Amino acid sequence: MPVLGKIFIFENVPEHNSVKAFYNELEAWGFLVFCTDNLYCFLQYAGEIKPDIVILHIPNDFHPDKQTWKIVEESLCRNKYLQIYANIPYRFTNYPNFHYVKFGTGTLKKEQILSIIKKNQIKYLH
Amino acid sequence: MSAKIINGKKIAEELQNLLKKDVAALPSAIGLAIVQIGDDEASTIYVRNKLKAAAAVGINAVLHKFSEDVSQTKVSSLITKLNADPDVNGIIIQLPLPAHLDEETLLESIKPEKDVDGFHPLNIGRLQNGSDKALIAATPKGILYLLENCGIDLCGGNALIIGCSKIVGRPAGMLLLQKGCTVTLAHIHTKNLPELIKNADIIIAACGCPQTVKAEWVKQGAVLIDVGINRLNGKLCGDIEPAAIQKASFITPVPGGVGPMTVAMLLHNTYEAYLKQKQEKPTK
Repeated sequence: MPVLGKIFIFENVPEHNSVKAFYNELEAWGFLVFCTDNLYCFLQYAGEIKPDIVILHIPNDFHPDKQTWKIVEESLCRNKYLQIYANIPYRFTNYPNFHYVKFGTGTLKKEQILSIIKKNQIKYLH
Repeated sequence: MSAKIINGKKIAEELQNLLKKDVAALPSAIGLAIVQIGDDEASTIYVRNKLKAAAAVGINAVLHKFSEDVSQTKVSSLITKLNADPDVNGIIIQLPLPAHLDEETLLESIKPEKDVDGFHPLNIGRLQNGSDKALIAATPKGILYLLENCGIDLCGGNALIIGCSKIVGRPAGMLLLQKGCTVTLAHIHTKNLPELIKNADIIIAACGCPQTVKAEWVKQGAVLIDVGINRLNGKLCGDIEPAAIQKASFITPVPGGVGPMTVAMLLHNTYEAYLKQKQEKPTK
């Protein structure tokens, strides 16, 4: 099966079963999936992976400092990734190519994310 | 095929939190003695980190510091005293030692039951025999903990360990062998490293040479554990090329991968030493 694209996910609970199921679904769909629960590593490896899509799942109780966010934003804005932010504070997401998904419970809603990817894949993927 | 970046820092923190609860539940305090000789800058940082981490989990760590020109007899007599002290459950001699001191003799003078670094020949022998009495060196023990914590199936896998040092490569090989891996130890004289890497399901790179493992050699889906911390063009890097993430199923970053596990496992060894001395069963 041809590779549809690369997805790099920042997820604070990557070992959760629902998250694993979501990755499996993305893989079955033809994506290469990369994941980290460390923002520093997310930036470090984004340059190596060169993802087509980044998904940042940030829970409401996760508060990285402003400097960290600035570095994350600058790094992501340099690239034309399709960016999907989940639960991230809204004031940090005013950039092109981004989609904001709000979850009340803090769990990843794969249907919402998959629909965004489906809607955008022709525009952003090779 | 997905690739997950193993967060050693987070896993080490979780382990230390568990340890803190276990230590708090013990009937008496755990004592750790750290012996430092001289003012080597790196050693001072490592010792400071160990003292800080020990305090955070509730272990009483005491630093015994000597000047660079201390005699072998003076260090030996301290070790004898610490061996006999019932309030000291673990003893660490911070390496490297000044050239005039006999490192082997000093390490062997530590009571094996208090040798929380796992460097004593009796502990190395116990590890070879698969004895649960062994106190195992912290870094390889940390690597095994990371692999098991990530749910990686080790049994039947081809494990390649690059670097056969006494404190990482060799004990890591024994641990993986006991978990059912087919282990290959590569070293400076190994001739066909790319071929060995292509065949490996699990690679532990501990040779201290920047980016020795090239991404192009790595098998699709391999688990990559990077022990090396090197400086290349002013940046920290490991023994594995970062681009290998494209092929890995799991990879440890540098920094933030194996490093944080070493201190956590040293504390865990101290807790284990305490239990063995008191003949109590560990909760984890």
